[in-house]
Amino acid sequence: MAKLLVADDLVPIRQMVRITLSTQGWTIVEAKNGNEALELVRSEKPDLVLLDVDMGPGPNGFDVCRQIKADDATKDIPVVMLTAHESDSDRAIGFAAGATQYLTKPFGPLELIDTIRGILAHS
Amino acid sequence: MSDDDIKNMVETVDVSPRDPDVPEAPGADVFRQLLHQAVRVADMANAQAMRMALDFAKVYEREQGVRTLFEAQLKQMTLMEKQATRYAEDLAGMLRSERERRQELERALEQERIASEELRRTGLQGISHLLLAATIKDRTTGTHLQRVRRYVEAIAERMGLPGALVEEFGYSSVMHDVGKIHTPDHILQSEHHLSDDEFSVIKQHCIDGERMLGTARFFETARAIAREHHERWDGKGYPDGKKGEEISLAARIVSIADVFDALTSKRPYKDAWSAEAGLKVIEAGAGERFDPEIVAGFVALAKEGMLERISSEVAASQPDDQLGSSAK
Repeated sequence: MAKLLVADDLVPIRQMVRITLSTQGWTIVEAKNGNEALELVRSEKPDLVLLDVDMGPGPNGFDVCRQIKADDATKDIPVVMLTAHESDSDRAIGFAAGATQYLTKPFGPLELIDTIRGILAHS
Repeated sequence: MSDDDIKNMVETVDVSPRDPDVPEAPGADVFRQLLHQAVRVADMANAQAMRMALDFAKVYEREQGVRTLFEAQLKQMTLMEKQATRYAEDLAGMLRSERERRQELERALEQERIASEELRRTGLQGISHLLLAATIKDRTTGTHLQRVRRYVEAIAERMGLPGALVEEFGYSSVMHDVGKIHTPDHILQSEHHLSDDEFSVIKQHCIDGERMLGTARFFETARAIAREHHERWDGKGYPDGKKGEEISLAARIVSIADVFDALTSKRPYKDAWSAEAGLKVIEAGAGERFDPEIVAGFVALAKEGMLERISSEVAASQPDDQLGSSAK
């Protein structure tokens, strides 16, 4: 069964994601900022990471993604950006940072599940 | 404006102490005093303005902070609202498609029900054709089959089997001897004791019957009955020598109903026995030829007068059964 890390500073977003993804039988680990996300990626070794961009103080989602990809122990973990930043340049930054997929808020439950399912099936 | 600036200004205006050699213009002293006064007032006003500017800056900064915070929160709330709306829409969509899928499923089920009903009717029609053929050939009476069917249903019902199964056992029982269509007439209608060879031909009707009933699910029970209705509880029956619960429940029931009706009907080689005499043979066969539990149920039915009621009802329903009354 897959284990997923969700990093977002907003509690309701984390709840929404957790409830949505737990319908697929996946285990969800939550982080409320960039530093916590990095710690949990190293300690929990999730199968996939969902990253918000603006998460208050500390590294933002792009930074976290870059650090995940820079570490040999975690670089193969696929990262999905989940953010309200919807401009093309933000997308480009996300992909340049090593993200596998870029979803914008508001996101739909099926969209989220399908995206993750697709990535998990390929990895 | 600093104090030095003010001093410079005062010096520019030249309010230095007067040259004692130059006669002082009238009123010059008053002017100096006024000027000093003015400088002091300007000085104070300046300090006041500075304080106000500082205070204003502080207030502005604080308000700016509040506004930034407020805007950040507003942005979050707007995002959450959009997010919640999107979720609600998606969920409503899923609910709608779920409902449509269920309706489709119900339609499919309904069609399947109709199809299966059609199949059942076709199956029952097939049965009546098979029976017609068997009846003409064997001279086994239609009433015999009718009675066996009713006995089987009564037993199955008494055993507490569900209605659908009672019905299935009933219609399946009437085909127990269809294999006899292959059995030569002289053996079938022999009034003498059969030789071993002849008897092995008789045994074949169980195997033929099963084969004739094909592979359709509808005839599954009928096939089991055709094959096993001459098996015995103690394993000494034919054609396979199965024993106990290896023999299907339907066949165990039919075996009792068939033997009882054979005993109590007139046959080429014997007269019809009384119900009491027939029942005695069945009871004596419990645990040997027959499943003792079914025998107990059958005896109970007899005590309730059910067997006689069935027998007379069948006779009344087919007054024009020529084959029945003319059987040797």
